[in-house]
Amino acid sequence: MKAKDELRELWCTQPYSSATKREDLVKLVQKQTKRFDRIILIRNLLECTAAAVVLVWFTLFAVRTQDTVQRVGSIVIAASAVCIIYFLLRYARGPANEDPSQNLSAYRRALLERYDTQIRLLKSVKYWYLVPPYVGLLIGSAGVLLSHARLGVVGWRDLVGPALYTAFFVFVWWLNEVKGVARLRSERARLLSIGEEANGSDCAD
Amino acid sequence: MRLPVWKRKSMSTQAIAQQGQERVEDTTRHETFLHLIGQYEAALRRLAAGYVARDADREDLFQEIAVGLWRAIPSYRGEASERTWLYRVAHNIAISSSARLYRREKRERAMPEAFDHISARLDSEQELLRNEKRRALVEAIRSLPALDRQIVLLHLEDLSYAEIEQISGLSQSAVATRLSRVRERLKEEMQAREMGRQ
Repeated sequence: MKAKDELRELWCTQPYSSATKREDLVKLVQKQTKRFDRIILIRNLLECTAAAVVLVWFTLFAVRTQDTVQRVGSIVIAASAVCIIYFLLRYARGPANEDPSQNLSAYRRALLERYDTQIRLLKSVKYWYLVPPYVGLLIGSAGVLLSHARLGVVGWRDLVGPALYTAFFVFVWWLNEVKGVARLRSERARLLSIGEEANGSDCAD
Repeated sequence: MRLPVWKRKSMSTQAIAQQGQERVEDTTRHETFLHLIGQYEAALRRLAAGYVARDADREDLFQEIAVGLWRAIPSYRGEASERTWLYRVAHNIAISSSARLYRREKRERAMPEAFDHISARLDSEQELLRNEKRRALVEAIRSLPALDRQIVLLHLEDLSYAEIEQISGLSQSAVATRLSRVRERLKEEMQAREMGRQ
């Protein structure tokens, strides 16, 4: 028991420097909590506003244009904006708050589930965030190309727009599905090593 | 459309009552938080030291735990003791922050470790020796697998097996078995680290 007591004594006599005073800590904690909530709110608001602008813009364009193909493309883009707003509000409201007062094994399991959900969400980005507006843009570009062909003014400039937005969509896909998923997977792997231990046969619950 | 006067009155009374309730809850939360920090600040800072090496990271982790506590206070229902609840929250926050902190620590591994500022303050040889031992202990704890580390940290903070069971979800017999194994490992690690320094 002596060794144990010595360990405890060594542990409990650790000197530490308190960089933050208690009252300052309260202010800091309140500020950080508000800041975090505000960041999530602003992020969701910005994305929804952008989607709403896209929705209004392409709906108006669909109403005004005389070209049927371009109208179809605009309707697809407007519909995909509705789809994006729905998904953002329904699934991407910000990190779910697991109850941190659960026991350690239950909390780890909840965290792992959250990582799985986030990974699934990032991997599904192409279906609800990228492909629908991209298809709409392609149809719209085809409409422009056809109308130019009818006028006999097709040139390499007609391909600049599609090339640019294709590059943009590929970049967003890479950011989410390759980079984002890889980061989440490495964090999940670290947690999993802990989770496997906690889910062993010696658990009380 | 204007609401009838009586309805507006009753709504504003409701709103005032709700505001008053929120204020009371805020005050209670504030007081509870200050009480918890006052009581457990040293233990929470030690806990942070068990997870991360550098002073800045410890302070960050301590603040993250403080934010976690602040957020968790309203959901405290008194089913577990205050201490058990606090350690659950603190270890869970530390675990969920550990992946990010680990990445940062790996990126900035070249930075000097903690304790350096402390050694400058120590004068006697005996104190220096104790500080070396303490450093070896903290490093050895950090090198443990996460669950062993959590259990030993709780044990070193003088929590009973029953309390550790409530916090970790492991049975008391499993806690006892793990602890005796971890204590042995800690002693060996400490010796190896001390030998390595000499």
